[in-house]
Amino acid sequence: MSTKKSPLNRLRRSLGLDTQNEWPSVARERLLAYGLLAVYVLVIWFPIYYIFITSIKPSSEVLSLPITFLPQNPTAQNYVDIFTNRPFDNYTINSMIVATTTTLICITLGTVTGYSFSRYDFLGNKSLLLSIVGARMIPPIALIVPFFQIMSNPPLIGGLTGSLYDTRLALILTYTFFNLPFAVWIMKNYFDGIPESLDEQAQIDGCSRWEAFVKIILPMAKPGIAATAILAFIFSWNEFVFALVLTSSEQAQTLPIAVSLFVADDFVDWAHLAAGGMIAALPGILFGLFFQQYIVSGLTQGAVKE
Amino acid sequence: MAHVELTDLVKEFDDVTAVDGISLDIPDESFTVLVGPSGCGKTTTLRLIAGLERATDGEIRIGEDIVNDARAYERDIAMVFQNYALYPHKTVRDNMRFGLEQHDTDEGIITERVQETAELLQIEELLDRRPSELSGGQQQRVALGRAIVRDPAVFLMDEPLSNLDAKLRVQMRAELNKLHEELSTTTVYVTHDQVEAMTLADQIAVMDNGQIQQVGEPTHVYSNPRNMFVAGFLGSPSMNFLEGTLEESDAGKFELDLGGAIHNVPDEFTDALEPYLGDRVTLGIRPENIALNQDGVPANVHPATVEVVEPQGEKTVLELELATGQSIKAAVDPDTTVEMGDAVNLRFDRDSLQYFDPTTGKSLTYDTKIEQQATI
Amino acid sequence: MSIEKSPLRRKLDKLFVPLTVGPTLLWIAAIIIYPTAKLLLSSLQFRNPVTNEMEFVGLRNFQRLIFAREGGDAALGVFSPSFVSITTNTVIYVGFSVSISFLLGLGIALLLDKDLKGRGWFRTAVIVPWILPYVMSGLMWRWMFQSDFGAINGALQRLGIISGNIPFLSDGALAMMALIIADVWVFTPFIIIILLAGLQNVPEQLYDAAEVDGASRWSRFWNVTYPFLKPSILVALTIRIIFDIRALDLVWVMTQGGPGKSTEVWASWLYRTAQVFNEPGTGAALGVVLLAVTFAIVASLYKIFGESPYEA
Repeated sequence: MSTKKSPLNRLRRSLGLDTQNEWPSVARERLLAYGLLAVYVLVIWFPIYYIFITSIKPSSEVLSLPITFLPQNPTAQNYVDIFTNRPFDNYTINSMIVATTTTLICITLGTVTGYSFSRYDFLGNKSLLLSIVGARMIPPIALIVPFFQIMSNPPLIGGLTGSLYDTRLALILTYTFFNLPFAVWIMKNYFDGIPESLDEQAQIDGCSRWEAFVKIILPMAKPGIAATAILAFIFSWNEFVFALVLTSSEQAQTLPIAVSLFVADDFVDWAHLAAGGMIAALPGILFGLFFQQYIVSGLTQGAVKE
Repeated sequence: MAHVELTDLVKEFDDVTAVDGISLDIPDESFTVLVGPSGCGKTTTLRLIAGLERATDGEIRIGEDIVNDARAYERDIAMVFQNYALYPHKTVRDNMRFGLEQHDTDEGIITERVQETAELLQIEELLDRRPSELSGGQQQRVALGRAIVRDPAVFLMDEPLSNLDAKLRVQMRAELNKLHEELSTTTVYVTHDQVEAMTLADQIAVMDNGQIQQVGEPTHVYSNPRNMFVAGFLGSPSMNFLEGTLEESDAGKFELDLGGAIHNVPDEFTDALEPYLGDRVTLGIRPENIALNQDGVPANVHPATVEVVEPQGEKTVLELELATGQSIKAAVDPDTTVEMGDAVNLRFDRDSLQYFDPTTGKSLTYDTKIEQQATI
Repeated sequence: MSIEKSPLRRKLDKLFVPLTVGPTLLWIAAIIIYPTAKLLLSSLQFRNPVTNEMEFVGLRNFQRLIFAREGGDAALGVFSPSFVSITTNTVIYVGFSVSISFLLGLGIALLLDKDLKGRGWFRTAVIVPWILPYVMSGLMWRWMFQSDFGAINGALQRLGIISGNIPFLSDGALAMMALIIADVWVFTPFIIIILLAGLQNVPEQLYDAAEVDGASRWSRFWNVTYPFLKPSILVALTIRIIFDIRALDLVWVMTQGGPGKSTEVWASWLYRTAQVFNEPGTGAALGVVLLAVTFAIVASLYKIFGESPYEA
């Protein structure tokens, strides 16, 4: 009995590896699972580790042999450089503005539209929804030609704004297009999970449709909205191809473009590229670490209807 | 307080008529229960009264007002849903306050009413919790409290007890009775559970196929069903139906040939059944009105074999096979000692016999029985 | 409380659906119909390099892309050699990436579905690669595979497996392999998430029942897990395939289709034609083909499995 109390045994029991408490085959299988997962995580995180240490090595160390897997002289110089020698502040602000605005538009429209699709039977409800979702199937890359043409010479509003080429607005419009159908779909599925009797109870309590939606349903949909918002933000923050096609200067270029600019024809400035890459990757890593469950639920709602 | 009056109410959905022209008077301060099998239109009727659905045709009157065009939020009603529909992100207190706030009630009155209602339902210590922290029974009370606190003209309840376990259900039934006595608010209550309907209602409306089959006081409807549907729906185990051919005996008495066995029809029904001589007629007898007969009085005694014995505590239900091959259920005293395979004689209580037209299901003896009761 | 009738509230209520659905529909309709029409139109035009005007050329763009020139080299009889080789590259890239990441993702999802402590942490750690900007991931892998200072050569040398440097990205086949590895690294988390969600649908009692029945692990997977997982597998594969066909980011930053044309795929071909060579007409024609291919794939999966992947 006394051995049971040792820390090792307690750990073993809490991990479900104690053969006194579990079938030996179950414990063995579990141990194997821990092992395989640990190896997998180490392997997939290694490149992230390597690019991170590259970003804190001086350029001279990056390009010297033998390569080091532990930085000998860690420094933040690369990060300072990209903000002073290159307009990374502009790129970051562009990325923030584009991703935030896109996200706001997507969750606003996605939420109200998703709610109506969830609750009301209107003409062509189903086919409209299918066509909205079907819009996702159009490969964006197929549309780079028309989008480039449209943004260079926008119809209807062209007289007012002139060309939208190389503006943040062009990116916002484009990203909203790609993310909105997804947002509607996630939110529709989320609202489907909220019992309709709550809407009805709100009406009985004296709420109009709008009041019921705003006062009762919307507060309950916060997790769904968060999931939609995070995914829309990440997608817009990370987008590369349309940013490449639709922008050409620091007044609209976003971080993914900025990072790619470190690649010259023959020479790549790896140390600074790594630092820029880490900046670009930061929101993703943070969201992943702290809001993993929203990303999972959003993606699940979006892809697989329960 | 208000009475509710439904006149020729119709509700059609795409290809179904859920409510098919019902008229019902729900008196002020009454506890009216709409009961019927699922899909009979009872919930739709309730939702029409609530204003959650728009009536296709007919008229809904709450108090003096015709409310057909009023939205749910414009009608002075409160509703308790089957799944309680408590707002999960609000505390119990805020759940109860919300309806009052929406109706621009003074803050002082809101606080007072919430407190009073919480005391009435003994949920004061739950006020600051959220619905997810409550048991099913507690959620049920909160849902009731949220309706009561509004002090509406009418309470609408949609199977509010169906999610509770059996014991709690019985307890809440008693409590609902007590509450209704205290508050006297007109209540319309929907359930598929006929026991619940019988115990709660002072007026019961049995529905089927979008129509009201019979309205009345529960015990009256129970003993005097207008048709086979009502007769079969109320009561558990349900009424036995035995079909046979009506014939006149040599002695001028009416008898039903059940296919081998003869059942003697009491004389008082002779007039009512006269037109059916030679036709098929269905005899209805409730299980509790069947006794095991040892004495062997010849009238209306039917030999049968015990097939299943099912002790239920306060009674024992027997499944039997008549000599004619028809099967029948009897509810007998739990002390009765019979076993599977025993041969017994069954005696039908003559005062509880009913006769129906097997094709239309209509009761042939309803009027006679009502007259009889009136003379007594 | 008497019944108050408020016409404004009612009016606004009546407009609920139009007001909530209308803007989104208009937005999506405008932005689908117009560019798609423009795409179809452009695909029938060719930019005259002298006047810079778009001229109508009928189906010539498609003909030029797909079929061999008269008297020129031909592959498989009539097709143009570059069309065939790029299509082959795309099939290899998508085929290997999707199947490897699917098997890997399925394995990890099954492990993560077990009752393990710290499952949430593992899940977080496993998902991150998918959330990073593809550009950053592509460049990261380009750095990993770099022949002089890359971590892979470095590690292999340190382990004594190789002595010289392997020029991963300047050899056609190796470059394709590097691309596939990067793709698998980026997209396996997506498979894991979808399959993990699907695994939640398997009723626990069925596993217990199978165990009581003495089913082997293999038979438990096929008879219990697989039937419930099938819809998720379909969704994961469909989305994975159509997204991989259109994905440009990784290819563009890692190899730009090189060395030579050894890693040129549909997406990079389209981009190169439209933007680099400034032939919007030909690029649009490629876009039309890509659109058709995508719908054909979705439709055939739909046909095979008999249900819409979006309604699974």
